[in-house]
Amino acid sequence: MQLHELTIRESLTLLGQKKISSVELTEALLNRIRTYDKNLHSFITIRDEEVRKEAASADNQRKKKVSKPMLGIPVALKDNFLTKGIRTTSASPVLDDYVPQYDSTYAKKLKDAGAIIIGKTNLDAWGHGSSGEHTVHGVPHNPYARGYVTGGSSSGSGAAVAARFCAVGSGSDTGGSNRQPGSYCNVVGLKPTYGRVSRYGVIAMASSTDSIAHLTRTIWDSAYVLSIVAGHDPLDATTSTQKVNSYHETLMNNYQAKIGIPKQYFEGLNQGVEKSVRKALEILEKKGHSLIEISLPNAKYAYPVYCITVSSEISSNLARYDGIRYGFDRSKFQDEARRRIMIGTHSLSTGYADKYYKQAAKARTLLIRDYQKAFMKVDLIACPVYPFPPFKHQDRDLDPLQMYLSDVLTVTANLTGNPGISVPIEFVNDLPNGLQLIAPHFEESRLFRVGFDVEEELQMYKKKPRLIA
Amino acid sequence: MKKKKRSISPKDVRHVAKLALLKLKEGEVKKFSKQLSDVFEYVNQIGEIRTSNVPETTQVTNSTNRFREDKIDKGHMLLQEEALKESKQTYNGYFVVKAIFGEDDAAS
Amino acid sequence: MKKSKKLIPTIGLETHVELSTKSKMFCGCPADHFGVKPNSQTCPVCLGLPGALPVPQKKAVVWTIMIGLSLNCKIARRSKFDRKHYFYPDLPKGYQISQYDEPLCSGGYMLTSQGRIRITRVHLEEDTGKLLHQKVNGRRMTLVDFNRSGVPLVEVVTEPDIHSAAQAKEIAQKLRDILRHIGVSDCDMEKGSMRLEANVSLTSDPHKLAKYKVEIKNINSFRFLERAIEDEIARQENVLKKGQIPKQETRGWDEKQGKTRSQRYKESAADYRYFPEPDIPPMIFSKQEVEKIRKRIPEMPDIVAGKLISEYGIKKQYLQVLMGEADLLEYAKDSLAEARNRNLDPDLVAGMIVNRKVDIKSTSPKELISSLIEKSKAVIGDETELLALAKRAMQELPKVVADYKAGKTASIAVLIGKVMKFSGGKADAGKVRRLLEKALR
Repeated sequence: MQLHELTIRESLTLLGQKKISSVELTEALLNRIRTYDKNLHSFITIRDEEVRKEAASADNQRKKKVSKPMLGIPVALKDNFLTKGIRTTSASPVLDDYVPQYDSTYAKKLKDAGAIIIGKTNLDAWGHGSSGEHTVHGVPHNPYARGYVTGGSSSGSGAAVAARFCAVGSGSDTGGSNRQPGSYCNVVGLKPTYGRVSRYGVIAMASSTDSIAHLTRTIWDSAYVLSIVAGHDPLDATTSTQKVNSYHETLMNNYQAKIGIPKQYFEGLNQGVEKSVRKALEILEKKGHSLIEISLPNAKYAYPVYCITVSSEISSNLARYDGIRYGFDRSKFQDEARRRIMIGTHSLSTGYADKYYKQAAKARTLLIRDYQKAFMKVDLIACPVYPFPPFKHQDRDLDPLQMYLSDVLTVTANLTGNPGISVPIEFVNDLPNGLQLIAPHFEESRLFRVGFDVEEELQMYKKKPRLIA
Repeated sequence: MKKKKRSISPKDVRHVAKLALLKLKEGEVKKFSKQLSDVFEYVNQIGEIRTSNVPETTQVTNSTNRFREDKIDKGHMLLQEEALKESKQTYNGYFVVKAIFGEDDAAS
Repeated sequence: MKKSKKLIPTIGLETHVELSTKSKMFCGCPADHFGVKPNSQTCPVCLGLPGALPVPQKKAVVWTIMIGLSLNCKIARRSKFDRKHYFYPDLPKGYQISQYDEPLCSGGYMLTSQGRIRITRVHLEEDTGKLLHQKVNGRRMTLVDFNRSGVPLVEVVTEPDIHSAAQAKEIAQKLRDILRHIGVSDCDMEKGSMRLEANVSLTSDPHKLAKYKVEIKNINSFRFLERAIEDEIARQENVLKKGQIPKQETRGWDEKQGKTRSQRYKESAADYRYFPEPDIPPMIFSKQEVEKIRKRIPEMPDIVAGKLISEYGIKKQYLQVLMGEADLLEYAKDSLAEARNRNLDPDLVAGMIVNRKVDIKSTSPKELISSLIEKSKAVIGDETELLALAKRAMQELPKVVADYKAGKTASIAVLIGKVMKFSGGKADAGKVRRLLEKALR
């Protein structure tokens, strides 16, 4: 069996049975990364010697019967997650040489759970992007289609998990940034409920919409990781005290969902994308779920509201980068960041704040009400992730506005705080595609349960990418 | 040929860049004027949404009164070296910046 | 002939007070930064590192409400923090977490010798770091220390109801006394835990807002506050006399020159781009919670002292001293209660305390009363001894004896008093009286 193919679940089983060691697993992954990543650009930083030592230590602990939920499992973290002593750049020249003095809560939780951080993955700098192209560390290639984008901004994690460089890569989802690479890279991209996972130590993009997320190849892995990283954090006042379930244990429960199909989310779709999504919905019907047409009357305003709200918060969150205490000065910001900072600054400035920031905040309430009303009728909402399939590098780059519109199907869940997931479904013209499911707050169990039905039927995780050395 | 009046003029761009402490080169001002105008012309549609009597939502935690106790937390404090180590210029335990004009600024 | 309207100063005071909490406002670093190595009390939050998040401490919020209640303010049912944006090296996040349109307290007042001053608002925010300007190897450098960054700061703003420099000084001092009495800050202007700014204008109609206002900063003492305002009023009078309007600006008080100077300052009104702090959920207070907080506020010293005076029937003159020192007042409360329990004259005890005849640090109230009672118990009861003293008194005061024998029986008190004096207060007064009465027959 190929070690790099193992899911977290399989790895834990084999490690527990002493059929493999963490050192072997880590070596296999490191070799694979060394062989193929120079052509994929999924990592910005790869740890080497330290990781081998940590793997050996994990094996030792296992011998001594130490029990930790992720003991000896290599994980990748998106490079906007602070890792103490490990370079963290946010893929921007501003933080090119920054080595953090502290760990994000997320990194700490995984380390405490015994995981080994194999490296930091590539992203659209500061989280600004949905294609992965806004980085100075080489644009990641889609492992299934060289020359095509991976989706972003958690581009590197999406590519790394798809390429079988690791079984889990963390991400962040502010407007779709974790669900999108899930869809474009044939992996499971979870966006937890806002406040489910601590943001402490993750470079803030938009404080009221950032959701700390992860990508895996299977639903079980996604559910398992969530049960480890979720929970209240006294260092993050926006985290919830809501109980954390063992999400991976309820995948086999009897469940029949009413799935809402919003007509506004099926307008103007690429034909192939729509076909693939509708096929997946048929599978769900066969499995006993019911499809119900719903309406989200304010859907067309979601993107403008998102654009203003998130840009405003971005302009504020990037104000601390003045080069005095760390990093380089503001002259190192690239175009995309500068654009968003200026859009946000203008939206908040005197004379414009009422028209833009405040109006958007009011419209946000209407979007929340739309979802609340929908969830009184249905248990989940289903739709595509992107309106179009993966595109070639630079194809949509010239027009920033065009680029922004790829987020229209994902941004509402960020504005409302609802959890969502992208589940791998049939490819469109040999390019990966995902089914998006959205649930009420803290009902991630439903996402996993229904996603599992799709996974069980289509088994897209078995489709391997062909990589070039 | 009549020049299209941009909703975000070069003057607006310079003003906003100044507020945001971003230095733009002259050529960039024109580029951003066009790009920002396109964006704002698109987002202007939120003006048509009827929002009188609709309260603002600025966060989705659905919670209130999240406090901590007045206690010293040594565990998360940084040593002086740690606090300073990522700075490009320090002096005697201080961060260094370009001199700010005026002793008046030392006030408060 | 044109009658020139009298120009009335309209002054508003803005006071920033560092709360004496143990930890900073949004993190667990120590708040006491006096005399500490630079940048040795920071953490990711107050240093503004990437990814750090603020978590507000409850005590600072409660104390702010206490301050507001002491200033007769209305407490907001719902309040929140907002981000106030501007760039400055001592502001690590590029914004200060403060309060904008939903402050914790508003609409209060303070009483002064010249009437009521309205308090516009009392709100809570975080302090910035400190800048130091130095010459290093001949080059001017600006150095930054973030130990103070994040310390809880309360801002108290008055309406421009103040009409003289003296009144401004009175307000500032009264505010300091109140805050010290509640115990929320040491209000030490030298240490910087209390900072004053004044907005000064002159207008001929105090009920209309002046067309301009000048902000005075860099005031380090109450004396300088008074002088700076006086100087500024005079300066503005001169400008107005010339038919001009004083420039709307910020001026700093220059101690050496004894006048205010224009500061080469940030041009044009800053655009702070306030918006609600998304990292901190809003705060909601019920009426009951606010009442609970109100009960925690110690009564103001003048009230407590006044109550003691009426309750124990002690001299009214003692009021000023008693209300002026918290320790003394506390001690007096306990001592007088104990005195009453043990049947000792409270006025005597109060007099001793006020005249500082007691070391309140080393003698507990109970110990004081006990020792006083002991002293009074050392009574001379021996009649032979008393008779000798009585006779001596009669010898020394023949006129009083004559008065008594002539019918002025009340004058026996003088003779008793003399015997008491001879005996150092130890004679048994009752016995002395009987012995004298007998001797005088």
